[in-house]
Amino acid sequence: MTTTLSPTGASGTGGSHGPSSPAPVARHRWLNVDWTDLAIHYGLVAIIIGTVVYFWITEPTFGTTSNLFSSLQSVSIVGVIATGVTFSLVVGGFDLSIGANAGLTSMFASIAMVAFGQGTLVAVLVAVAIGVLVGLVNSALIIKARIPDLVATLGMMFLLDGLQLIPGGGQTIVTGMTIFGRQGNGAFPSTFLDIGRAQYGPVPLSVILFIVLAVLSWLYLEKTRWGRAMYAIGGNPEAARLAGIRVNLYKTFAYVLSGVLSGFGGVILASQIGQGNVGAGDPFLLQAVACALIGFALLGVNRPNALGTAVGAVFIGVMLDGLTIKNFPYYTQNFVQGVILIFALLLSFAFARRR
Amino acid sequence: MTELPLAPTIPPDGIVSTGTSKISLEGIGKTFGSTRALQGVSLDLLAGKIYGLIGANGAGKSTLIKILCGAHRDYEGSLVIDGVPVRFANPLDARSYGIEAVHQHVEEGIVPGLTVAENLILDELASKQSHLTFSVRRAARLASEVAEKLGLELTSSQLRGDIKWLSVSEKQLVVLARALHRSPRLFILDEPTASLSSTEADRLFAVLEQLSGGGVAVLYVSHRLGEVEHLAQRIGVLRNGELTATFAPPYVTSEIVSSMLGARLAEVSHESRLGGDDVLVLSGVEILPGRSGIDVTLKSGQVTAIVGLMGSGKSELAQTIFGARPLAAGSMSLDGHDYHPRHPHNAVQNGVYLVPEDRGAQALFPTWSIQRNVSIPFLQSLSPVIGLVRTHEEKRRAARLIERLEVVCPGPDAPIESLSGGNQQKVVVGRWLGGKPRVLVLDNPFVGIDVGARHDIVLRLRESAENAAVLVLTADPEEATEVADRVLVLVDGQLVLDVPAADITYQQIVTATTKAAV
Repeated sequence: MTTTLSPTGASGTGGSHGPSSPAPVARHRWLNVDWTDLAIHYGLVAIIIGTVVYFWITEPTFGTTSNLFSSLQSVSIVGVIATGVTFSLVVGGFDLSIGANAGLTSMFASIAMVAFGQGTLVAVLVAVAIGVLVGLVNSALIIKARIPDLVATLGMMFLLDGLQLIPGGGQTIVTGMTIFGRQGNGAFPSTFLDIGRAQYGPVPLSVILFIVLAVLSWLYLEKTRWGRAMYAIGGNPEAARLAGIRVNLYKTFAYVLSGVLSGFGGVILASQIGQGNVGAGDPFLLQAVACALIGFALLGVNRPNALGTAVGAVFIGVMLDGLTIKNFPYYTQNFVQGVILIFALLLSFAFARRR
Repeated sequence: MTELPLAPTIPPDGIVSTGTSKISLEGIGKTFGSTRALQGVSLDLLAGKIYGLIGANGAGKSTLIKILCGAHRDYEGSLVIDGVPVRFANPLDARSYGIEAVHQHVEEGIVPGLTVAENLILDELASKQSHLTFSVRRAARLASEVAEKLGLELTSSQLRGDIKWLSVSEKQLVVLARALHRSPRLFILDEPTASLSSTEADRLFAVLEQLSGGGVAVLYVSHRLGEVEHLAQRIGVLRNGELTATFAPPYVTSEIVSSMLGARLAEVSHESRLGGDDVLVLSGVEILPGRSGIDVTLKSGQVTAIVGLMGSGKSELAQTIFGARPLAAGSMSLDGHDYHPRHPHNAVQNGVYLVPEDRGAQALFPTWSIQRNVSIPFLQSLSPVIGLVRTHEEKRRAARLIERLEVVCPGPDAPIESLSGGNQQKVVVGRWLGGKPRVLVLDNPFVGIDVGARHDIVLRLRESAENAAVLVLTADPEEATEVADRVLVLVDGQLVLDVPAADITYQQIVTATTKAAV
């Protein structure tokens, strides 16, 4: 029985038989299934499909187009921010300031519109500029001042959390509020509100933005040499430097991307709620990190990856939506997310190491 | 009473009782997936004897060591200690039988972040009998006792410093000293001299001879035949997982080499090249702080070897040329133009490449495939359109390299970690051959590499050095004469000897290295 496999298996040793010749080792697991391996590769996908199918069958409202898109819309912000944190994870770092950054940009973009009467473009530019600035400061602290990434960005998180309160004196930024000693003469333009609320057919614009950003990030990280360089830095920074990669430049860029994507998350946040809410960005830190970590387990890649992060975000969105429809109390949500995260981490770390 | 039972002399009482104690391997076999790593290996390790084990990369040496250390549990055959068959459940179990191993990769044996003293007395720190409080003075005293066993000279400020500031060879000595301190019954050394200078190695040999004289069995695994012949009372040769031959003194080197390599002989003969144009000119380049600068010119088509001990400034020189270390004083020119790299990136752009000293820590991306490890420095040439990497071309290039350097592997997408050390090194050297080298610097490139792989790499180097200047930095005079057209000796940041390789003898180099060091 096994002898029929040997001719193909033997051809793999030369390496000159073209790129498609498979590694001979894999052949031996042809008949008896390696369940650990299967779980590592497809465990997360199986769970996601299982969850969706379960909700789909048991809850008639779950499978409707509008419901599916609204559950996606609810995770578009966290998805964008999680894509940002993925970049910092890829270069072997960590950005804890993402949530506070999103909160700050949502506040400051709102102030630009409400207090200074600026339009959508300026508000978005303000958000992006803040994101770039935060990224630059983060990387300066980490690279130049040599502060460990976790601590540096933790400090930045506190700083941004506090900074967002200062211009508005701790108040929520709403149209017509009194700010800087006078009444704000501006308002949220409808184009700005559209970013988080508009729909093309059944598809919300924020979902489109999330998907576009996720796909671009995936292309960048997986397919370009710049992404490869970032993974190299995350894998072995010294080897990367000695291979001629400008490690500090890429690290800076990763933190800037993390900052900009968080800022963009802040824009969607402000436009969905139509005001600048104090502390509105804070919950996104843990959720975004959870999405990115769940993403490690996707297809057994066991490293931060943009596709996994997006899938993680969508999974959390669908799961929470399904639980809501099933009338699970809101306070069980964090618990369920935690269980999912631990499960995914088991797949990527404990099982994968045993191989 | 509460003092730890520090064995002051070798051997300790109780562990080695008789001179007849023996550890036997009987028909050991081991399979990984479809690879047969070991096949019917039987040998005896006798108390008071040094057994030399040699073999090419991938011959199964590491697997055998791992079985002896309890790292592998599923193997065929049996391990018999003093007539009693044993099967270790884990490495700790093996240690309780007095089996102690020092592995090739130094970093696995130390804990960065702890001081040298703490690393030296790590067992004491981890043991149940250890004191509740940690006295720095007591630690320093213990550590210097441990260090003294190997004649390790460490100042008290060094002992209190973080171990990460020690050089590779000093770290290795720390690991060796710690293992010796446990007073083993069987002491296994895997390529122990790979990063030691000749004086440090001599010191180690003396300790080993003292150990075996005291009744300890020693298994000495090395690629350096000279050392093994000098030390061992018996030499076993592993080839393709089988013990193909054993030798007893007097040894005939050529016989051992041919049984190790099979048909292929390790003889490297090359005509000495005078070299063409000046490629890299260093003038007054300061490599050790406070020393005057050195002048040296590397010519195209010539392989230059610089022999230097640890601390001679070898690695500093390599890093300076590669832009990984700022140029403190002096100037460099490349092909007649001023050359002042601020980052390795500038060096690579100018065709100046470095194969760093520590393969694992400085060159490899451990989770990556071979092809990714190969392509990383020159991704730009693989991604002409908006940075998108052409993976088919990447794979094709890696496959070509595998073929040219005869890398033993399943294919370009096999993980780099699945390769043996010598084959990994081929990949690390080979990655630079994908560029347009002007200057190729190799810092201790043959660490832990067998004669066969070294031979392959040298041949490829000489081939690709037709138009480039190659600089090999090594501590091994033999290696230098084998590889180079021209040999220089570096002592304490200064060049003390510069002669064509054909005119130099081993003795001359050794004299030059040691004379100036006094």
